[in-house]
Amino acid sequence: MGRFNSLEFGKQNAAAQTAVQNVPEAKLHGEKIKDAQYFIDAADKAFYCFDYEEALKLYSKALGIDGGAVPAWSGQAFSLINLEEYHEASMWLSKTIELVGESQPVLALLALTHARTGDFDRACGYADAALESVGNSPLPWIVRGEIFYYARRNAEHCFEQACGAAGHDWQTRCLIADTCLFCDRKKLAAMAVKFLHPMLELYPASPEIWLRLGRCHTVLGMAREATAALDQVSSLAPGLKILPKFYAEVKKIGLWNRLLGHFR
Amino acid sequence: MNCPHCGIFNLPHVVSCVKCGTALYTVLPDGFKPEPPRARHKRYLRHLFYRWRRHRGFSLNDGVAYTGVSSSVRKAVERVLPGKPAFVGARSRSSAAIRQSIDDSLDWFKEFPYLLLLFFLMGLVLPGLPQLFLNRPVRGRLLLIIYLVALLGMFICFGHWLFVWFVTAATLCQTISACDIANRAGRSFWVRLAGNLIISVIIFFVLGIAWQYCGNFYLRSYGEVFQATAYLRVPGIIPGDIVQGKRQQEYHIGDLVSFTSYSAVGEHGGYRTQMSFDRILATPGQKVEVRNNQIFINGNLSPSTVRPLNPDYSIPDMKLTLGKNQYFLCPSNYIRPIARVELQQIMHVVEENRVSYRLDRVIFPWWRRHLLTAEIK
Repeated sequence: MGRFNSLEFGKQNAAAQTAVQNVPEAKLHGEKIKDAQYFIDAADKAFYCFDYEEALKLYSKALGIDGGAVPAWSGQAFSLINLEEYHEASMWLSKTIELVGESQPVLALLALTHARTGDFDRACGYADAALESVGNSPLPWIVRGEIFYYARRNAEHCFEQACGAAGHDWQTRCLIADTCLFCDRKKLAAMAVKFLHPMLELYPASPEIWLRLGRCHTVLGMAREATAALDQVSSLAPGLKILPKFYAEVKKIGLWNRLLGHFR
Repeated sequence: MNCPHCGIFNLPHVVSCVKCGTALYTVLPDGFKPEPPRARHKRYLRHLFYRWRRHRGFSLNDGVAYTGVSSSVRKAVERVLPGKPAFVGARSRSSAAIRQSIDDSLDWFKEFPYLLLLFFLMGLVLPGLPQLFLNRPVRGRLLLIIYLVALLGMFICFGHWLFVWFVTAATLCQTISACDIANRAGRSFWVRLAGNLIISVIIFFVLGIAWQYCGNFYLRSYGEVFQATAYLRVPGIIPGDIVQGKRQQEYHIGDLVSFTSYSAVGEHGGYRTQMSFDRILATPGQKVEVRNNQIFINGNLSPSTVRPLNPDYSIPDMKLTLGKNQYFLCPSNYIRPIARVELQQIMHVVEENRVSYRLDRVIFPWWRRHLLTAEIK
């Protein structure tokens, strides 16, 4: 609190006197302040490394500091969806709307929840609402792409629209890759590779992109490429919890898929 | 971050604005833990079901007049998101303006409250037709084809044991059609499941009974009909045949008749009555003699082709003269388990008042249709 005591704000109200939190002195020098954004960033990192349980905890910490942090709310719901706990995700999103109001990612996630449970009527409705609401999040387009995939429409167009949204470069493409991998089709895995490759040139040191690339190659049966990508991840981010599981998936690729993978 | 009230920049760890005191962070309600609910266990079956639904996918209807999500879905979404305009769905978004105009002109039709009932009734009559009207062509055609095939099968196999299976198929088509029309989209999964179960059980049983009554009414148009059961053994009739009967003033030798017989004493005591078929071998006043397992009527050997079902059974030797109201029937002895007790039935002489009808012809199944002409005179 020391350095704020000397600031001159003129005649301030009494609230200003108690406005500053009790932050230990040592943390103010060089160490990151653990505010809501700090925990959201850490949670995002865990989320993109497929560590959804850790992400849930970190998002909860962020919400403990700032209850209005929409990224934390939506991140929690997204983690639940990726953990295939759709009913809980739906409940939590309803709670989110109740507490912080509707927003583009929340509506998109509602659509995603319903799409993954096969309730396509509602999914279409929420996806439309997400696209109509104010914001520039790529998530509605990604969700729309997934819904279009289930409708056997042009999902790629929606993913391209998502990539066109400002900002969110590699995260958007990682989410697209996740969507493609969830759909569990080789055709979509190839599409995911197509979306991931440009980001490798821009962010070659991003383990998240390599991780997804490894998974896509695993789905496509390209064992050698998958192992190379996962090796890259292990050098960039050693000690990643999910990595042994992905290595095991590579080992499980059958002979036939390996042979087919050579021709891809 | 900047204060939303006065706009002054505040350091990230500051809870309220240093200038105006406005809270910079949203505070959650007291006692509320920002931890989401978690599933207690893995729901494998449910996930398998979801996966199947995703794999099945759906079709976006942008080629027909009926667009937009159902009113129940719209209401459900509007309940969660008040003030939101009614969702038009991806369907109308991708449809052309001309289609939209058609939509508008048919809007009253969508909102018509009795449409559901109308379609429901139509579904009862012809499953698949409402689905075709609602632009669900695949399931509509499938239901219609299965239903028509089932109807054809019902017509061909009327009176045969396969008839029941075709009735089941037709009833299932109607049930599925009705459930599909009354799809309670917008409700939770369990509510929809329960609703569909209730509807299907009710419709299935109602329609099953209705089909049964229809079949019975059709049979009754032939007059008195009987179905031969598995334990009857009469020339020209096999188990499952439906036979037409006619009441007569008197019966002659060789007539196939239905009569009420008494089975032996049941497990819990008392008589059990049942309808049986048999052939008349001797009429009132004739002399009947049984010797060495052969039947003589008025001293002549009766060329009965019927032999007892039980090979160990031998007709007891007897000699009798039939009374005024008595008939001698072919002793088609059989063993029928009644209440888990195997009882032998030996029928020789029956009273006239127990003979009810003469059996004229087999009418169903179609391929078994023939006259039951007398084999012995």
